[in-house]
Amino acid sequence: MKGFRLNIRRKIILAIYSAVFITVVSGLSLGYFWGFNLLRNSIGRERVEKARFIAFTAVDMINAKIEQLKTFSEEWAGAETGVKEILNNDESLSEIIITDVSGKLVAASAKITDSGLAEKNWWQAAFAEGKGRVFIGDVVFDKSTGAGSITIAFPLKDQAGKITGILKAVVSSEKLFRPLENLKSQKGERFILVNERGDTVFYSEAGGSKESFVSEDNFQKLLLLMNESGWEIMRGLHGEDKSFVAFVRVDQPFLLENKMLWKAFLEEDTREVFAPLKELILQWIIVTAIVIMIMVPLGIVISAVLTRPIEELNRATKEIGKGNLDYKIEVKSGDEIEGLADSFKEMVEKIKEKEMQILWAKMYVESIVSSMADAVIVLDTDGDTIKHVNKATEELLGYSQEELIGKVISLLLKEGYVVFKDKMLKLIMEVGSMRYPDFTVVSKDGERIPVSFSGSMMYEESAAGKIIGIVCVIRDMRQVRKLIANLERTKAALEEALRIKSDFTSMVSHELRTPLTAIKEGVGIVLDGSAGAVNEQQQDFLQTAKRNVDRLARLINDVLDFQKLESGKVVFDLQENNINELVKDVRETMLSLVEKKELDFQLLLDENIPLVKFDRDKITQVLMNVVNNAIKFTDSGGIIITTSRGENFIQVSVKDTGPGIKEEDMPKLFRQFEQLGKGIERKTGGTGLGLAISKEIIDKHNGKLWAESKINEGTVFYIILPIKERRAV
Amino acid sequence: MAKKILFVEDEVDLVKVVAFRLEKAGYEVCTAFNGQEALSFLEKDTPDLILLDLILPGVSGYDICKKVKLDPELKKIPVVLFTASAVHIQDALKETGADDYVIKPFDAESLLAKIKGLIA
Repeated sequence: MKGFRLNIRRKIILAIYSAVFITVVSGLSLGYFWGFNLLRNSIGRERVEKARFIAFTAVDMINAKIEQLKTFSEEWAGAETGVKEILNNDESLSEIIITDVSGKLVAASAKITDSGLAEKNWWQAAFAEGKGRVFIGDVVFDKSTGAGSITIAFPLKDQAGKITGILKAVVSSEKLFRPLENLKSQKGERFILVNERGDTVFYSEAGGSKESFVSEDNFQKLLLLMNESGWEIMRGLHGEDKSFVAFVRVDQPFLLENKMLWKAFLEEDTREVFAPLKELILQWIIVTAIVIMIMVPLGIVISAVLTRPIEELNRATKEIGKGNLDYKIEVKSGDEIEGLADSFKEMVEKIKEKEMQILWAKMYVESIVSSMADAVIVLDTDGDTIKHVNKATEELLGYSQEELIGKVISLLLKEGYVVFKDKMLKLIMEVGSMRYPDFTVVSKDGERIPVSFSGSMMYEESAAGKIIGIVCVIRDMRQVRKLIANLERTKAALEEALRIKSDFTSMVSHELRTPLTAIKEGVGIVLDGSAGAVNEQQQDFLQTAKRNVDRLARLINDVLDFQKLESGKVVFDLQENNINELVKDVRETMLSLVEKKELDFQLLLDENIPLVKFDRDKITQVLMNVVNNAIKFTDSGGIIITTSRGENFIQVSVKDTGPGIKEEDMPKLFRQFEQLGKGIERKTGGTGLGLAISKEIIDKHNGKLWAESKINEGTVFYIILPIKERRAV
Repeated sequence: MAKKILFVEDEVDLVKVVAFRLEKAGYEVCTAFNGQEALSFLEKDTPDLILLDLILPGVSGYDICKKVKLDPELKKIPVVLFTASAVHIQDALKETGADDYVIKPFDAESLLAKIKGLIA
């Protein structure tokens, strides 16, 4: 599985991880972000509610204080004492003044002048022209202590609801709202109650002594939102960067009646407030971690399942690539990869098949090469180094294959190497192949072996023109040389014998002629009576002698003719001739003979026969001979001579109605001294050379002479002469 | 006066029968059996025709014929060559300048006809 930086398994794992990571993590993140915001908002709202609750509680405390002070409304007697008692028992109250309905002082916690009370703001506001209402004054800070106090004034009423008097009380805001601190549930929680101007009505931390929030930029912004309620994260009162501040409007009717608007702030440590969010994040991390932990092995398993067939295929291709064609590919994935594997198997089968074929072809070629009787040497493309030799090479040169392969060919050529390299190799490379019938190689034990050397370029079959080496075929010529030498000797001896025979024949024939002439003349002289009268019997014997002398003379002539023809001493006088003319002449000459035997003699001549070059006398001799034979052997019927032309030859046929020639005698027909009709021949004085000479003459004209025959029907002799002039020997 | 024929032939028997024939035909026949004899004869006498065998012991028929045909006085004498071989006869005629030839074995009639043609 090596070799790939990012193999397919890793890719799939990566893909799975990426997909799962993106979906799960983004899904989780979205979910959690949503939940986070939800939780955050609900926490915010909860804190706002708490701030509202605290604010309302503060208002309730004012109301409770008013209800407590209303007990004075029934009876004025003892009011003075009651006021003092209340003041003594209630440290939040610092001053109480009670007047009647006319503004006349009824009771006061401290000594005050009883004049003009009805003119006071608080009195007028509480009396409200007889309708009566609760007056609440602005918070007032004591210059020395900084403590804030609030003036409350309200009408005292009888049971019928009739105003009996007005009660004014000054309440220490710090002391009045102190119990609010009990509502603090968390560490760092601070509660602030401010009026519409930003003055602190109550501040849980500093004993309500913080005079104003106006100077606090951040809170100023909130003050502008007097009609709103909500929460912010902002710089806190103690300088914390991210304080949580919930704010709420305190819209109490009696505050509104007095044109007053209070606002309550609940400042807390953001971390404390949003602690539940942390838990949520932790949960998110845990769930994500669990998902990833499940995903990692799952991804590995899935990718393994997906990639196993591919890896198997990869392994298989590598194995097969290495040449292990028998490797079993086991892919049972049931998908395209299995299909691919199947195709691959098929391909491997085909490769195996092809490999077998190649192997077989290789073996076939190798067995041919190794069984060759000639030495085969394959050289590299430069024609220098021996790449391959066959068995015959080892046998011829006495070197083993190992001794030759990788060596330079000069080892075998010795001094012939220069010629090989400079001339032969160049020609081989130029022409493609070259044969040197006369070359020498040197065997291991130094024998110089005459060889025929052929070299051919070896080309790669598929790549056109690519040379892959030079094949040298070296044939041992020792045996052949010996045979040639023997043959040459035999030939010379034979030629000598022929010459002797020819000379002998010539000599004998010539030597015979002179005495024959003397005999002939001698007989002639006696026979014609020049040397005196001869009787009839003597004449008959002399006739016999003369006939045989003539026959002997003809025989000698024929022998000499044939010998001359055979030895090529005859020079043909080749002229353009019309064969028809010759045939007519022959008929003329032979007519007397034919008439003597009462035979028909017909000519069927092709009048358009072309002129052909031949020796007129020699061809006449042939025709005479053939016609003479025909007449000789025919006793009834006749002779027909036909001339015709073929595509590139002319033909003369001589047909007779003689006895015919037996099939077995046909081969003898044209042989020397063969006389088929011995009796007739002797009687007619033939020499047995006529047809042999005729055939020789026709052969020398590049023509053909043959016979076809049927017993009791006759014989046809055919002569063919070529139209196109060829060199006659 | 009978025409004189010089017959040059080394075969005595042949000379005998041929001379008989020629004499019968009315010619005077002088014979020479070799080249030397023929040349000696020609120094003393002038025949009307020479019958000359090509193959002779000593001086050959070729040489004699050439000599005759180159001699201003003798060259008008017709020469008929004798030969046993027809092969080179045409060459021989050209070479020697002889007038005619006969090939052995010849028959008397044709020889006489040729002689008659040359010395009417």
